[in-house]
Amino acid sequence: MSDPAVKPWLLTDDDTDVVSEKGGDARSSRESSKDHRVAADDAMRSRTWISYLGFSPYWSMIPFACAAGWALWALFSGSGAISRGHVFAVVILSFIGVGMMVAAWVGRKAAMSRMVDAIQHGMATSHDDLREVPVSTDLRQIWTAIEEHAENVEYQMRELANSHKQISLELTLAGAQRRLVSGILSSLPDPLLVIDSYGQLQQANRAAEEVFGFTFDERERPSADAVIGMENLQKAIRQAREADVRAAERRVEFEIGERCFGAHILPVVTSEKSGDPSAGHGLIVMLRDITRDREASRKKSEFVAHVAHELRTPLASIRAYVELLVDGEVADEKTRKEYYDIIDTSAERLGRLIDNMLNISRIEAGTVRINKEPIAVSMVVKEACDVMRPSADEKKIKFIEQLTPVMNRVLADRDLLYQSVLNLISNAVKYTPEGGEITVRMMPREESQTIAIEVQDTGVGIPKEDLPRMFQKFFRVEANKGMAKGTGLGLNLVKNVVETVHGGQMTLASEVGKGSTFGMVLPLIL
Amino acid sequence: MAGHRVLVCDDEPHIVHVVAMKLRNAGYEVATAADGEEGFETAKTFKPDLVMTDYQMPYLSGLELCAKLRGDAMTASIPVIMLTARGFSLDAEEMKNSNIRKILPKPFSPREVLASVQEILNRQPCAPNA
Repeated sequence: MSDPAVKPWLLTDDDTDVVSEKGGDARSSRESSKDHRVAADDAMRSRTWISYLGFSPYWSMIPFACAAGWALWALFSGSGAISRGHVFAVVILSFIGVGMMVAAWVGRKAAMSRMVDAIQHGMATSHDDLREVPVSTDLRQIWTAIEEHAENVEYQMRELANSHKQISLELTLAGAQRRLVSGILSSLPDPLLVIDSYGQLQQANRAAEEVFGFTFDERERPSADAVIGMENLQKAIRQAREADVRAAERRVEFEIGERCFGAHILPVVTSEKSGDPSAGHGLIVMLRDITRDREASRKKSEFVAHVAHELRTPLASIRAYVELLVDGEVADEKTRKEYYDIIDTSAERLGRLIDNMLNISRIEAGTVRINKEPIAVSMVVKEACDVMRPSADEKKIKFIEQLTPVMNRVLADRDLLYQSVLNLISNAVKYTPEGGEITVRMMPREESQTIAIEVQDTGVGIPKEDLPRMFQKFFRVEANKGMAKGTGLGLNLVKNVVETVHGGQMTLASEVGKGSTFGMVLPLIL
Repeated sequence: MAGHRVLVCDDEPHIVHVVAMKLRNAGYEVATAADGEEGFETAKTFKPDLVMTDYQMPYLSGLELCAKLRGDAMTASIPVIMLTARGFSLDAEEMKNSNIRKILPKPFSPREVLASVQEILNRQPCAPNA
C-alpha cells in the first residue's frame, strides 16, 4: 500500500492504528501479521475496475452543487434570460452528479457484498482475506472496527490454540505420570491403599488386592470399609480421617488368616487448600507382612525365657545349698563336702552355659575371632581322643580310633575344631552305658575332596522324632536327660562351628537302644 | 506340724534333695519324684498334705500335674506350691482353680520354702489318713 491518496478507500497500515492499546501481546501479534498484508496488497492490485467505484456518494454532491451554483449564477447575473449554454451546463453537471451517485451506489454495493463475502469467508479462515477487499472511505470505520475485531479474534484463537496445545501436552504428561505412579504402586511388594477424604478407595495395588481379596476398579471407587473387613483397621482409618491432618498418623496390627500385618496409616494432603486444616485429607495405608517378624520375636522371647530357665536352675542349686551350709543344717563333714561339690558343679555349669551361649551368639553374629590355618585333621582328632579316653576307660567303654595319616589337611580354626570333636566324643561317652563301645573314625572322600570325622557309639540312641531337633538350642532328649548333665547347647555349637565357620556339614544317624553316629564333613585342602 | 506329708517333685535332683532335706529337718515326712508322671503316681500312694512341684518337667509339666491332681478325687484337694525358673505367674482366679497356693521363683531360699509350707499346712489339720 504505497499511496493511500490514489486509493483512499483502501485500508492502510496507518488506518489500523486506531485499534486501542492492548498491551505488548496484541501489538506483537499485529506486527507479525504485517507480512501477510504485503502479500494481500499484491493481490489487491489485480482487482477489477468496479473495485474503484466504491467511493462515498457524498462526492456526487459536488457536481450537483456546481449545477445549482451555475443555475443561480445564470438567473441572477442580470441578463434576465437563461441562455441554452447555461441550461446545457447545468444539465451536464446534474448528469455527472447522477452518474457519480449511481457509480458510488454500484461501487458501494459491490464493496459491501465483497465485505460480507470476505467476513463470512474470513471469519471461517483468516482475517487476512478481508484485507484484499477495497472499501470506500466512509466504510472505513466499520471496516477498521471489523478488522480490529477480527484481529482480536485471531489473537484469541491463537491463544486458545496455544493453551489447547499446552493442555493436551499436560494431559499427556499427566497420563504418563499416572501410569508411572500406578505402575510403581503395582510393583510394590507391600500392600498399599490410597483412600480419599470421603473414605473411598482411590488406589490399590496388586498386593493389596491379593491381601483383601478384591479387584480394584478406578471407576467404581468402592468405600474403603467395604474392602477392609478388619474392624480395628476400619476404626483406625476412620479415626485418621476424622483427626487433624497433623495428628492423623496411625499404626495398627491385624491378622488375616495365618498372616499378620502391620498397617501404617499416613495422611495425604492432595487438595489445593493444603494450608487449610479444615480441608479433608486422604490417607495412605501401607501394610507390611509381619508374620515372620512376629514369629522371630516370639522365638526370641522364648529363647530368652529358656536361657533364663537354664541360668536359674544351677543358680537355684547354688543358693539353696549355700543357705543350708550357712544355716548349719548339715552336721556331718561328708555331706558338707558333698554340698560344696554340688555348688562347685553348679557354678561350673553356669559358667559353661554362659561360655557356650556367648560362643554361639558370636558365631551367629559373625563376631567370633576365627584363625583359620591349614591343620592336620588327624592331629586334632587324636588330641581330643587322648583327652576323652580316661573318661571312657572309667565307664569301661571300649574306645576305638580309626584315624588316617597326617596328610589330610583342612583350613580350620584349630581351637574351635578341637572343641567340636571333643564335644562329640564327650557326648558319646555320656550317653553310652558301661561296657559299650565308641569308635572315632576319619574317612577321606576323594571324589568330593572332603573328609568325614565320625563318632559312633553303642549308646541309648535318639528317638526318630527327635532327630531333626538335635541341633536346636537347648533341645535335649527327654528320655535321656537322666543319663547326663548338659546345657542343650553343645551340639548347636558344633553345628555352628562346622557349618557356619568351616562350610562343612553335620550328619547324624541314630537308633534307640543301638546307638548314634554323629559326623562332620569338612572340605580338604588339596 | 509334725506328721504332715509333703511331695517334692522336680527333675533337678539337687533341688529335690535340698528341699527334701530342709523339710525333713523341720519334721515333715517327704517323698520325692523326678517328673510329673512319677509325681502323680507317688501322690496317689503317698497321699501328701502338700505338693511342691517344679513348673518345667519332662513328660508332665507342673501345671499338667496340678490339673491331673485336681481331676482325681483322691488328690483333688491337695494344695500345691509351684517352683519355677521361668517368669511364670497366674492370676487369682487361675490360682484358685488350680489349687496352686503359691509360686516361688528360682533361685529360691530354702528358708522361704519352709516358711511357705508351714504357712499353708498350719492352716489345715493333718489329713485323717496321715
